[in-house]
Amino acid sequence: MQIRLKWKAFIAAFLFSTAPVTLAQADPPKQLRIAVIIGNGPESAWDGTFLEALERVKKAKPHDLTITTKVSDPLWGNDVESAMRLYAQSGQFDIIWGHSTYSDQIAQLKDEFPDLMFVMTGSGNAPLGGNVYWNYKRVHEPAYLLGVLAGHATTSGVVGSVGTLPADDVNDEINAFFAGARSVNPGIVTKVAFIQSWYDPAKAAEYMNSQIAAGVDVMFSLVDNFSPCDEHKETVVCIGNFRDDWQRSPRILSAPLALWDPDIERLVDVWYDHEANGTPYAGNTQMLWSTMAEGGAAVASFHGRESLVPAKAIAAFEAAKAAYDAGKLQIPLDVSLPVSK
Amino acid sequence: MRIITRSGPSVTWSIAVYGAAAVVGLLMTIVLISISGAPVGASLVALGQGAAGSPASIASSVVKATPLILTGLATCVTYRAGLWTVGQESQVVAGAAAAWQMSLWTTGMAPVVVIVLCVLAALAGGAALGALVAWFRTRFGISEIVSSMMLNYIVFFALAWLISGPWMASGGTASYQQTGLLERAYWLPNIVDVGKMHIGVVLALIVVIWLQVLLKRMPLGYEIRAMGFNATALSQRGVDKRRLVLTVMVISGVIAALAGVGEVFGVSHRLTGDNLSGMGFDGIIIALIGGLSPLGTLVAGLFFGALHNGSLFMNVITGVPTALVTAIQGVVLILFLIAGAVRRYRIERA
Repeated sequence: MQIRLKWKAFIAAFLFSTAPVTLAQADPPKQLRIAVIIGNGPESAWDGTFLEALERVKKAKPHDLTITTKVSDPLWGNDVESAMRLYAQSGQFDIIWGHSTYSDQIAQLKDEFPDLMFVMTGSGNAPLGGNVYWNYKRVHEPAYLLGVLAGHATTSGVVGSVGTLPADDVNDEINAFFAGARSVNPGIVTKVAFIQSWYDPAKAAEYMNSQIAAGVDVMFSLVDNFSPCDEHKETVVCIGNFRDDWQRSPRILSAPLALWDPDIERLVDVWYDHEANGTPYAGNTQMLWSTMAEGGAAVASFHGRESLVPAKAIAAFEAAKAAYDAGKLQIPLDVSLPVSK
Repeated sequence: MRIITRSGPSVTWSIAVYGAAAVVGLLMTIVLISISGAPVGASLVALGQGAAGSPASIASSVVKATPLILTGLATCVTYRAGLWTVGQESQVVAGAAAAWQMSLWTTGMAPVVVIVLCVLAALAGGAALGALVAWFRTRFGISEIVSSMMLNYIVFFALAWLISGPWMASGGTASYQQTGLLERAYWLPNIVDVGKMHIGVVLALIVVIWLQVLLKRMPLGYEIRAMGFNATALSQRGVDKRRLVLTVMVISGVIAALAGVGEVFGVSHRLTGDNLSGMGFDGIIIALIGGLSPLGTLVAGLFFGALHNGSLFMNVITGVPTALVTAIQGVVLILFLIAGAVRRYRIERA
């Protein structure tokens, strides 16, 4: 028992030294300490966009809070539970934010640490409620608008998409992209493939090249690789995913962007309300995401590359975007498994 | 200068050589931690605490070591026979998948019956995959390296199809490539009330002892080792090589499959696309570090299980990158391979 206490004290002491702490915390709180566990690494669009948004929120200082963060290396499986337990036992964090499919691990800890707020993100999580909040991200709306553009831009009549794994929050944007393309070009052929990994650029290139060989000339790439776009620069235009990767290839026209800022702000508000007003945690048991109108998603700038596609494609996109902004275009949500048609 | 084989290296010499490798490995670990910019002292304390600093840490280290030991043992038996398979990865998955299917078929039966049937199904799954590689080798002369590597892909994609289709979780969660959570009654029982120390740990120890006895004391073990030394001579002696290849690959498949069922039914309690990933390949490294001996593999597996858990503590507490453990693993592998050569050979001036 003594040994156990000693090493816990050691951990607490070390984490204490790495996370600024307010010794006598005034009411309302002035500081929020977040431990973040990511699944892939900041180089992936999923984690990278989140960490960038977190930095923006820290600078914005909601509720005048000083927000400090500690970000883990990419972790998965049982390691996540161990890491979360270490963070929780240290007593040095207010929110443990698991930025992936971590509900199995959080379920083991949430009742043991009822004063901590847990966050899990994305598909594959089971709703837990209580002190566990389920954050979600959908970028199907900008994907649909870029699909409208693709429907006009294709000359071969074949648009394609290479996805990571067929999950709810991957299927939605691929389906939306194809739906957008079909809305302006019903006769279009769509091709879809999944690399069966969250991050495998080498395999991604193989799949993209295969689709290009099959006639795809507008490619919606969700797989963090754009080298095939460069290799086929005479024929292919690429649409990125989640972040603005325009500098990675001159053939990238745009991308649906994931903006996590409103999600983070919403959950900071929840924590603040709990701390300042004593409002009990009431974690959502349904998927909750911020729409494009709410600032949770956007379309990346064309960066002056409009000439990659016909003018009518840009015009159709602008018209669809204006209709969405005016509330006249309802973009359907379809999470079924996308298939080539 | 000539390289001479030592005749029967003494135990003292073996301990000295491997001890020196361990010390150099520790020093190089310190260098790597320094390069990462983390405080060395605090990192080493965190490493120790994570590896074996408390009953919970010890349990976690042992649980992490268990699949490594099993896939290492699966490697031992094949490599000692001169069969250079890399199919441990798919055998792990085949075992887990077969067990999962059995759990679906037997839902509603008494938990002990379900668990036993699931473990048996896992063994059958691993054995079938091992037998397939053996058949390719003995019937068509296809190298087991090629066929097992290709089977890894096939099994991986079959699993991806199963967990995104027939086995995909439904209800309560958004669609995702994973099965639902296994009913708690069907989880492998824990042997102690600390962490996830499930009964698979005991099974792994039993397999270590059994394989050690098999390879050292039993006629089949002699044949396995003899095939590794000189398969042609063994054939001349009248041993049926086809039967032996099949036997070895089935044993290997069964042992690797135990790792799969242990991880899914004892630790993660659901099948996903990545919770079994890498175990087979890690087992090859563990077996090589363990000198292709079951007892050596046990020690190497425990060491790397502890290292893995310790590195997690280092990352969380002092910020040392977890990728460092892979680098340390590589360094230790090289050092132990060198130690193995130094133990067995000496240089003599001509």
